[in-house]
Amino acid sequence: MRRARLERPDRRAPRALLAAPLATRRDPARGESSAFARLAVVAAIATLAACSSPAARAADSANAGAEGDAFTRANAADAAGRSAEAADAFAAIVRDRGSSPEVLLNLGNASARAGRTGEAILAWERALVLDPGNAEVSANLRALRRRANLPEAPDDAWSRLVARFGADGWARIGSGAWIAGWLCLLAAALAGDRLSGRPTLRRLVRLSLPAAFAIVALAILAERSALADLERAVVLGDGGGLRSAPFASATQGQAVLAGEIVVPERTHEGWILVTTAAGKSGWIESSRAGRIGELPGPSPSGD
Amino acid sequence: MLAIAVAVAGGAARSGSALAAEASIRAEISPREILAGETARLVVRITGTRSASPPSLPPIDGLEPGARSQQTSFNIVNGSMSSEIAWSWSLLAMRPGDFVIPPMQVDAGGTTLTTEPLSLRVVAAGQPPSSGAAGGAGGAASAGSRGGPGPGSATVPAGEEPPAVASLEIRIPDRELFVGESVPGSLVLAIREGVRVSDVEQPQLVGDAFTVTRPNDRQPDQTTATIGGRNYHLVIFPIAISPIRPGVHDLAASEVIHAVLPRERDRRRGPDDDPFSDSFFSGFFGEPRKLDVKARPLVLRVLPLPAEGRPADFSGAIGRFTIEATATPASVALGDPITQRVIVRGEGNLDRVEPVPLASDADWKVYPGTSRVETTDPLGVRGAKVFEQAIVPQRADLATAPTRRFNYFDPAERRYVSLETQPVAIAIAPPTGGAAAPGAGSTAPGAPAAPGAAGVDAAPAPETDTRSRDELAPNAIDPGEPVRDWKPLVRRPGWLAWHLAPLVLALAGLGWARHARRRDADPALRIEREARRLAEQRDDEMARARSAGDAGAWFSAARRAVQEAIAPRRGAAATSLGADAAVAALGDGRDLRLGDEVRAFFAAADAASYAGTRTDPAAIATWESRVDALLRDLRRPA
Repeated sequence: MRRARLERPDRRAPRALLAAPLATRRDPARGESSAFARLAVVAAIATLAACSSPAARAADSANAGAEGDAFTRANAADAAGRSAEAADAFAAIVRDRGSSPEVLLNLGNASARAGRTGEAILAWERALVLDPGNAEVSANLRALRRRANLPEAPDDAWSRLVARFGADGWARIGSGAWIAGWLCLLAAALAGDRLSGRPTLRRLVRLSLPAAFAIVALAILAERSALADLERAVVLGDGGGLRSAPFASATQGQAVLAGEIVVPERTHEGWILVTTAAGKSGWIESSRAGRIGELPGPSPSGD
Repeated sequence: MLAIAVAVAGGAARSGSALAAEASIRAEISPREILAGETARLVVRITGTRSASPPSLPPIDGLEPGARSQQTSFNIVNGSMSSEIAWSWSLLAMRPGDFVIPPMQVDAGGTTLTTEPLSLRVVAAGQPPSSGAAGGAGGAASAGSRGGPGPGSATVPAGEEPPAVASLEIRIPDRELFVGESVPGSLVLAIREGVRVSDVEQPQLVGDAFTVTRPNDRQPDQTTATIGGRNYHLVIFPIAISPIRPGVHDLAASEVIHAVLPRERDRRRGPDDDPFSDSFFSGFFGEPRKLDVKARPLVLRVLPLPAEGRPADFSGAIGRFTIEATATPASVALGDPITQRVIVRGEGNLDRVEPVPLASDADWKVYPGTSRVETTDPLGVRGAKVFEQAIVPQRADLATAPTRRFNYFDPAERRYVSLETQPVAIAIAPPTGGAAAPGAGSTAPGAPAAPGAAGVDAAPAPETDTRSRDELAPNAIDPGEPVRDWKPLVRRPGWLAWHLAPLVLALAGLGWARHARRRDADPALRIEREARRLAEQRDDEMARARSAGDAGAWFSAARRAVQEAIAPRRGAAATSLGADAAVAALGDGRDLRLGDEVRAFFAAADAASYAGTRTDPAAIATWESRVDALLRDLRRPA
C-alpha cells in the first residue's frame, strides 16, 4: 500500500527551536560581547533537547507500541468475524492517534462487514483524501456501492484526474509549476543576450514559461474541484428520508441510503440541509452526515 | 348571459353633475353551474364612483381563483357622466359541490359597499348537468390508482372516474413486495385534451421505505387515451422501485405543472354574456395556472425475504432468471486457461445476481473473474449479467467444465429457486514440449504452477480468501503514520503567502536585469568601465615589472597607464599622446604641479625606454610613489 506523504509538525518543533539561536549567531548586527551569552543559550537548549528527546522518543515509542497492539487486536477481531468490535476498535485508534490510510482502510473493511455501510464509505473516502488513487480503497468503494445499490462515483476523465492527486497533490503540483514558471522567467531575464547564440535553450525557456503557467491554471481548477469534494458528506445509517424542514416532525421525502454522497448546503440547530447526487434537497440530522474532509483525530488540546 | 345582479345602493345613478351621486355595487357569476375542472367567472362591479378599493376574495375550499383583473370605464350620455369599475376572477372548480361566494366589501370614497353572496354549483364529471349548464367531462381533482394498465396503455377501465384537468397515477404490480427486489412500474400523468402544459418534469415519489430508479436522459413515453368519454394525453415516466425495509409503507407521488386551460365558456355563450370577460381580457387560451397534481398514495406491504429455504450461498438476487454457460476454447492443453462464461438472464435486481463462486480444487485452478450487466430496458431491470472467469484444468482426464449454480428468490412464486448450468464438454490434451503435467507428480494439485509452465504465468494470481469472501481488499497489517489535525495544504497558514517569494524574486531579478541592460547601453559608463579595466591591467603590469626588477618594462607600463588616464580627456588614442599633448589635454585650468609632474614623468619614461641603456631598477623605487600619486590624480573623476 502506498504511503501518503505525511507531515509531523510535532517532530519539527525541536528542530526549529534549535535553529533559532543558531540563526542569531550569524547576525552581524550583534557585537561579539554577546557571543558568550548566545553560546550559553545554545548549550542550554541543546542540553534540554538532549534530556528531553529520549523521554519524548520513549513516550512516542510507547504510544506507537500501544497503538500497534490495539491495531493488531482490531485486525484479529475482524479476522475472527467480530467485525463490529473491530470497527469500534479501529475507530478508537483513529480518534486517539489520528488517521492513516491503512487504519481507515481497515476501519472501512470492518464497518462494511458489520453492515455499517455509511461508516465504511466514509472511512474509505477519507483514506483516499490521505492517499489519493489508492487502488485497494477505490476497489472497495466500487464493490460496496455496487452491493448496496448506491450511485457510482463520477467516472469521467476530469473526476479521475482530480482524484488521482487529491487536494494536496494538486496544491504541490501547482506550487511547483508556479515556482518553475517564475524561475524560468528569471533565468530568461538574467541570461539576456547570452541565450541568443543557443536557439534550442532559448526555445526551451520560451516554451517552459507558458507550460508552467498552464499547469498552474490546471492545478488551480483541479484544486477547486478537490476542495469541493472534501466538502461532500456521507450519509450514516438508514434513518429515513429527506425532511422538508429542520425538525423531526417535518414531512419526509425521498429516502437517502446510508453511504450516499450528499453535498451539505447549510446547518440549523442539529440539522443539515443536503443535496443528493440526484439533485434532491432536504434536511437530515447532522449526526447522520460525516464530512469527508474532516478527518478524525485527537483534539489539538490533547483531550 | 345568465347573471345574478344585486343592487345594494339604490337605483341608477343620475345627477345633474358630472358623476352619479350614489355608488352601487353588484356581483355576478357566470355560469352558475359548471363541471368539475371547468371555470366560472366572477365579476364585481361598482358604479357611481371613480375610485374604490379592490375587493378581497376570501378563500373558498374547492374553488381556485385566478389572478384578479380590473377595468375602469366612463360613459357620457346627454351630458351625464357615469363611471364603472369592475374586478373579475376566474374560478377553477377543483371538486363537485355547491359553493357559496361570500359577501365582499368595497370602500368607495368612504362608503362601504357589500355584495350579496352568490352560489355556484359544480357537478362531477360524467354526471348529467342540470338544465342550463353545459355538458362535458372534467374535474380538477386528480387521483392515482394502483394496478391498471401498464406503461403505454391507452385504455382505462370502464366506469373509472375521469380526471379533471390532469391526474397522476402510480402503476406498479398489484402484489406484496419483498425487500431488495426491483419492481418496474411507471408514473402516468394524464392531461386533458386541449390543456396546454409546459415544463413537465419527472414527478416526485414520496416514500422513505423505497429507492427509486429512473432512466437517465430519457424522454417519457407519450400516448393518448379516452377516459369517461374525454380524450387525454398520457405522459408515462418509467420507474423501478426497490423496498429497503419490511412493513406497510405509503408511496405517494406529486407533480407541479403549469397549465393553460381552454376557455370553456366560449362554447356556452348566452344572450346575457358580458363581453367584459371575453377573450380580449383573458387571452385566447385563458389564464395559465400552476396545478399541484397528486397521485393517490399507495399502501404497499413489504415483506422480508423468507428465511425458510434460503440457500446458504444466496446472493440476494430477486426476480426471475435463467442461466447458461459456455467454455472456450473447448480443447486445450493441460494447464492452459479456459474462459468460462456464465450468463444469467431475466428480470430483477441484476446487480445482485451472483453465481455461487468457484473455488480452486484438485481439478481446477480458479482465477478472479469479471462481470458486466447488459440491460435491455432503460431501468436496468431486464437483461443479462455476464460473468467471465479463467479456469485452468489440473488433470487431463476432465471431460467437462465445472458446472455453476445460481440461487435467486422468485417473488411471484414466493420461494427460492436454485439453477445449475448444463455440463459443457471440453477436451484436455497433455502439455506439449515434454513439460511435466500438473497432477502427474511434478506439481502438486492446486499448487501454483512454475513460471512459464503451460502458459499460466501470465494469468492473474489466484483469489485470496479475503477477497473471495466479501470482495474487499485485505486489511493492512501496518497502521501507518497517523495524521493529526489534517487540513488541505492550501488552507494551512502561510501556504499561499510563501508563493509570493518566487514572484518577488523574479520581479527583483527582472528589475536588476533591466538595470544592467541600461547600464551596458550607456556610452559614458562603457568608457568608464573600459578605463577601469585598462587601469587594472596596467597596474598589474607595473606590479609584475617591479617584482621582476625590470625598470624598462615598469616605465613602459606606467607610461601607458598615464596615457590611458589622460586620453579620454582629449578624445585621442592613448598611444599617440606625448608629453606636450598630455599636458595640453589636462586643459587650461590644470594644476600646474600636475602638468610639471606629467612632463617630468614622460621625460623619465622616455629616458628609460629610448636611452638605449638599461635603467637602474632603483629608479622604480624613485618613481613608484610619484607615479602612484600622479595616476591617482589623473584617474580621479573630474
